[in-house]
Amino acid sequence: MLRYTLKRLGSTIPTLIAVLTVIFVIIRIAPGDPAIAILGDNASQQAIDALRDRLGLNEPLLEQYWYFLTDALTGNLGNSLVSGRSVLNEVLEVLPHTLDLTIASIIIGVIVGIPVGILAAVYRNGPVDYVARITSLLGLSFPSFYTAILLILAFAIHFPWFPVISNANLSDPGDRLYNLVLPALSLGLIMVAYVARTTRASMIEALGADYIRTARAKGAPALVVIARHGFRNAIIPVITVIGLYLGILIGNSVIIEIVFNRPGLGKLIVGALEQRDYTMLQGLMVIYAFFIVLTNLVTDLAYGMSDPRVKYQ
Amino acid sequence: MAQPIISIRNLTTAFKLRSGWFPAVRDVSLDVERNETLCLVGESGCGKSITAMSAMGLMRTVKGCRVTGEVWFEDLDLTKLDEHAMRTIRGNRLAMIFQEPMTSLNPVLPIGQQVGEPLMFHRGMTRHEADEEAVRLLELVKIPDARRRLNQYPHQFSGGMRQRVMIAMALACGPDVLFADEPTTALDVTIQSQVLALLDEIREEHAFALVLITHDMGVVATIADRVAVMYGGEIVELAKTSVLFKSPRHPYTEALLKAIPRSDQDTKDLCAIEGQVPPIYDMPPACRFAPRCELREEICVEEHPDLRTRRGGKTHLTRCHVRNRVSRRSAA
Repeated sequence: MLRYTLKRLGSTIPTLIAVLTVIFVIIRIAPGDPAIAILGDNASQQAIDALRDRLGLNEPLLEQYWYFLTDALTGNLGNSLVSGRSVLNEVLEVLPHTLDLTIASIIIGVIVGIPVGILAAVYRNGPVDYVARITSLLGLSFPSFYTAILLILAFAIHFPWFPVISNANLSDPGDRLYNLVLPALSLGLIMVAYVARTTRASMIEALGADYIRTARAKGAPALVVIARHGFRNAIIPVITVIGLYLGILIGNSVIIEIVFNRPGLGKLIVGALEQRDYTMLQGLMVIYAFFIVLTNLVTDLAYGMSDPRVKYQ
Repeated sequence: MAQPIISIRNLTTAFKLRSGWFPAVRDVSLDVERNETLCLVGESGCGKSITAMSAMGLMRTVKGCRVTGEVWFEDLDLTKLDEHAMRTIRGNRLAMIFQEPMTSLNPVLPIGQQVGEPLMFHRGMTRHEADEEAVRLLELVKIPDARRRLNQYPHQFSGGMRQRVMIAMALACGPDVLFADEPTTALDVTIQSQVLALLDEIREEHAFALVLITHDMGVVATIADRVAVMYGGEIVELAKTSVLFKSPRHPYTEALLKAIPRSDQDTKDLCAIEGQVPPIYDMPPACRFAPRCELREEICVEEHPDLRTRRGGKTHLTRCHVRNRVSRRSAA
């Protein structure tokens, strides 16, 4: 496992550099002069030149690339053009809110989705299965912002149990959790649907396998057959789906943060877009890329832990 | 005949298809003695595996499947036991190994744990104790370097080695009856004979009853004490191995024996049996072999033949109108 982990960690760095290169190229080939875009059409040539100089756009391309790479990898993402504050600091300030939201929705997805999926597979074509399948289909059909609005109407307005605007005080864990409930539910319910459906499908496949027959022939109790022999094998596709949707979840959190007027990376992005904060956008792209690469790393390590065959390939 | 260790009486396993219930195994009765090897032979789909799985109680949870009849094991009719009681016998007193060693082992659990599991279920051993016992079992089935291999996974084993692991697992609790469902079919020929020899050796040493399912008459000749030939879900002939090979009575058995390729005979004499086993929803109501039988008479398509001995005989049973009527000498 150690060798596999090191190998997998090693391959993360080239991936990260490749992603950063793509970001760099996209920014350069996007039409328009960033300086003009920032300052507006009526800016004087002098101001534009000064800004280009400040942004380092007058340096040779390779030199720009080198600075961009080394800065990004050392965590120096420049200063916001609007506030003048360090991009990294602005990000770190709101990051806990986004991480809270993402992690909470994954946890909801896993602790509800996996048992539901297993039950649906074990009692296949029974009432439990039908209810699980229909509700998860509904869960997938509702966009998260719609679920969010329904949840606000129900549990913040009709029953005023939770806040409409979730702006948590990070230093107070109770307040943090209290503000997290509705946003996490709106994202988490979709996660539940995805996880439950994947678990059900892979569990049905696992339960039909020959080794399940072997386990039963040994006299294994039903719970051991389902958990140790069935689920241990069925979890691998579930990990894939969770890893895949972790990336999508980070994107989806943008919408939820706006609906709940919640601080986070999503609101930062929208603000940066509106204010043409180029350095902030570039920095956020780097941060997102970093998270996606990290997610994939964690997913692969989880594979290694759940399937002994992965380590030897 | 001594007291049988397991006695299957009128076992019928039926499946529900769109147009009703159809038996895949019909009215099978078999006694197996401790210390004997009984071979169940027949073409694919004749009900051999279903017979063994039904006796093990593995068909009861299959949807659209109904098992009737009795399976007597030590004054217990296993078909009457609930799943909980059956579980204490399965893998403990009755064990089974399967055809596909590649897929029958759990790919994500170490071999040691899989071999030791029955001991934890039935003997209440701890994981550590079971591991120690697993080493002994792996050594029993002649897996070299057993202790080191305990923590390895099935993909690190060859086909023959995996089948040895399966055998070790089945033997864990010292079963009284071992059902082996085509244990060598998926293996190379040289490995096949090694695994068979191992099974035979261990059976002799541990004195359990071995019910070996195979379609390979060569395997039967090497290892079996008695043979039950199955066709269309029924036993059509039951005899001692030497008797069956020397004087087969059922036309299907004869055809099976003729279909064995032999190096000392010209290959053009190799006979294939015309036609195929009919599907379970389209079984002839009388003699099931009648459509493919060279001896077919009118009675064969009108009346279902019984499995019985001929006058004077006791151990050689045949399900054939023609052969049970005329004496062999006059038929020859």
